[in-house]
Amino acid sequence: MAEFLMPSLGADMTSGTLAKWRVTAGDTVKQGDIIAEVETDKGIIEIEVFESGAVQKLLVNEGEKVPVGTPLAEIGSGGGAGSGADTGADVDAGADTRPGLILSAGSSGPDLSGPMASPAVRRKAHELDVPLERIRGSGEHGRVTLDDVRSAARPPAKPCGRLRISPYARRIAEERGIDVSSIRGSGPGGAIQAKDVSNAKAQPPLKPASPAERMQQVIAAAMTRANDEIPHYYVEHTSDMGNALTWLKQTNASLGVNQRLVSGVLMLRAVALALRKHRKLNATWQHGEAVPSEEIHVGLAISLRGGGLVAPAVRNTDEGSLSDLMARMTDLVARARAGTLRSSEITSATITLTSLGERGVESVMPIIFPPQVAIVGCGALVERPWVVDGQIVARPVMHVTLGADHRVSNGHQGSRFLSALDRLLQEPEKL
Amino acid sequence: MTREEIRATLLKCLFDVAPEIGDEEIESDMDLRDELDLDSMDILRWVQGIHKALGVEIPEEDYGEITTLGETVDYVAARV
Amino acid sequence: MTTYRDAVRTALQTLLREDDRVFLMGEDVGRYGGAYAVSKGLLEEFGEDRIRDTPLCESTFVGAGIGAALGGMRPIVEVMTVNFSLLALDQVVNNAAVMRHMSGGQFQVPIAVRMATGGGKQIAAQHSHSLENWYAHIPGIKVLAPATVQDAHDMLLAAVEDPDPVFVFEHQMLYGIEGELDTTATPLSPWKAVIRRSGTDVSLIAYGGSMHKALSAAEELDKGGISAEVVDLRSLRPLDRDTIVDSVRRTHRAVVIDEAWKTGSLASEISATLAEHAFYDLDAPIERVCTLEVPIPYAKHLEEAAIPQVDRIVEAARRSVGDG
Repeated sequence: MAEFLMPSLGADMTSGTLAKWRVTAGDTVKQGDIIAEVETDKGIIEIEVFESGAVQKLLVNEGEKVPVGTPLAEIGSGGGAGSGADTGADVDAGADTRPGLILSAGSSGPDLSGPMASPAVRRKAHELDVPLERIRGSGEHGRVTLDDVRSAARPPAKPCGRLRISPYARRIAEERGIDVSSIRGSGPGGAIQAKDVSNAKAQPPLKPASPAERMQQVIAAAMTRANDEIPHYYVEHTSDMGNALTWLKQTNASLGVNQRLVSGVLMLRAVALALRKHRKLNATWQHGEAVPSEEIHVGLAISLRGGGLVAPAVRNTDEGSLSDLMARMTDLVARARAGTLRSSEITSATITLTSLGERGVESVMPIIFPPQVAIVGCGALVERPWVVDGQIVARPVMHVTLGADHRVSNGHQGSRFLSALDRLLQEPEKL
Repeated sequence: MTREEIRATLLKCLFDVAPEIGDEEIESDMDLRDELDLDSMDILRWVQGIHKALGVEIPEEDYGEITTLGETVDYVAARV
Repeated sequence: MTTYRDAVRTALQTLLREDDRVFLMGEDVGRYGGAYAVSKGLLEEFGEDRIRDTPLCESTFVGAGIGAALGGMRPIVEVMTVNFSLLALDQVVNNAAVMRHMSGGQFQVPIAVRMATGGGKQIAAQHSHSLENWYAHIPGIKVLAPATVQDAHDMLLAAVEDPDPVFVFEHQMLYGIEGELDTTATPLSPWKAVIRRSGTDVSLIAYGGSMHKALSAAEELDKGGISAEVVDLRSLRPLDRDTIVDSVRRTHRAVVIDEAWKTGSLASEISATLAEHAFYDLDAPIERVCTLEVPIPYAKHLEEAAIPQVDRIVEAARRSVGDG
């Protein structure tokens, strides 16, 4: 029996509304099936199941809003075609639920994937206000020790240490979206009480946010975290796109309208292939260390016209033919615009590619989307004087920028990645 | 097929590509790429939609002739 | 108007008149009329078979009551004070409370045991303690603490009617209080706590003798603009968790008043219950107003200082609302 949990669909998601069940109790599901739709600040997301088996029981009703990590359904190997093979799948799938949770590092919800640490260590970490997941354990099997916590203790962010606030006051502050750190408490010892929170609510105008505003808040939180936590470095290369565009034009001339390619797919594939030899950039930051990803899932930053930004992943971007990749990219863009992305697409990207339009600015310095450790930004394609074989000629060129996490890689590695990317773009027929 | 019918079909294809545009007024001489922020992927999907709806295939070298809705109606009307 | 004492006697008379199986026994309940004069006149009305004076041996007459209950009678046993009842604890804990369980449900023990509890009468450290939480600790028995004239009457009827052992604790300072008694009204369930006074700022949770002090404190607090709610627990086992938690969910602050010693008291149990079930509704630390951890003194001013009084409840409530 496995529990199907409300997934974290982003570092800052704390809860989601179960918009629709696609299954009922008794249905048989297999890993990867879409079994529910969840409404988040990013819109309606289709949720895939990690287990295979029979849906035993739905635990949450449509329309209910529950915190991340809340069991939504029980899925077991009973019912359905309960063979031995099924049971095996169940066991594997049980382990498979973890990546989804790990991707939610830093969000609230049950900390099932935290580092190993004794109660005393957890207590000390709490006292010293050190997030345990950011500590690299020096003990056996990476166990976090008391010394690790002490050495990781930073000067406390707030001079008074832990905030004195009543549980009720904290709860209503959360409900009303009020930042308690700026409230002056009137209770014993300066404790913040409910009435202090009520008095403070006048400060920020907290209207019910529109979907676009909520999405902007999510982006704001993710980007703030990225800039707070990630020591970014940037390297940039200007790539001659002449060969790529010529090849594209010739190729498209012989293709039917439904097989045509766009330059974006060349860049998408080139980034994925370049990552094969630069694994450090294809990773996520979890519990204080970079975890390289075996698979390459490039997230595509898509700017929505109604406001907002999503970066769903084109899974296994380095595999399949270019026309297959084009079809998948087209489908993803269409669904992003229609608001029907799937949970695995939202959470699985291992790096992000962003293009700031085709006639916009020439270069972009993008911010990494946590927990990823790198992002590639493309400027507009522009014609510029270029030296080819000692002659100055007009060529279409593009500024390609890599923003990367200096905890994980360094500028030298980043520049080698961009060089590899450039070489790939010079031989488009090999993409 | 009248120009009005063609125009309506082209608009429907455009909304399929970019549902976020909604009820925004689209004028005949508006540059679609600039004003509606359409990129090459959007244009390609639009062209595919037109092909499916009206059977007219617009090659890449003709993209310069379909920069506005009015131009595209002309282009399609000549070939449908 | 009826006194609390008369209300208990009225209930006894009703029970004795209506059910042949009912009889009363205890020290001095017959000729003397009861240590607190509750059973005055009953010997004359019902005779020696049904109003039985016993030797000064709690273990014996509580045990005899349990035996009579097993044999099909409906005994009402009066123990003079809770301090003396300790001599009968073996009978209570090892027989009355477990007989239904040990016999696989074949035997039940429909005994009602009444006793006086609490301090305030200057009868010193062997007659003044509040040990009802010892009884409330034991699964298998039920514990009631009537605080009003009506409850004094109704709860005794319910205790005798109940198929299991029920212990009724009558605070010795309450026998003389007066109130309305309606013997025709449908009684409230004895197992539910009751809001005796509604309020919005703080919940004063009390029972028995302390309940009246909580009501006085609420009036005092009202003069200072603090609206206090008074919860009368009534049943100490089972505890009516829902009513307690609901009250605190409305007021967000709790003061628990308990004439027992603070350590290991019912006040501790209620505080823990609130921490478990109303944590995110608490806007201030829970306050407990209990008896100081000393044997109850004989001297009047010391006795008053030791047990909870109105001023200490008021102080605690003010601290809780941040007005202290």
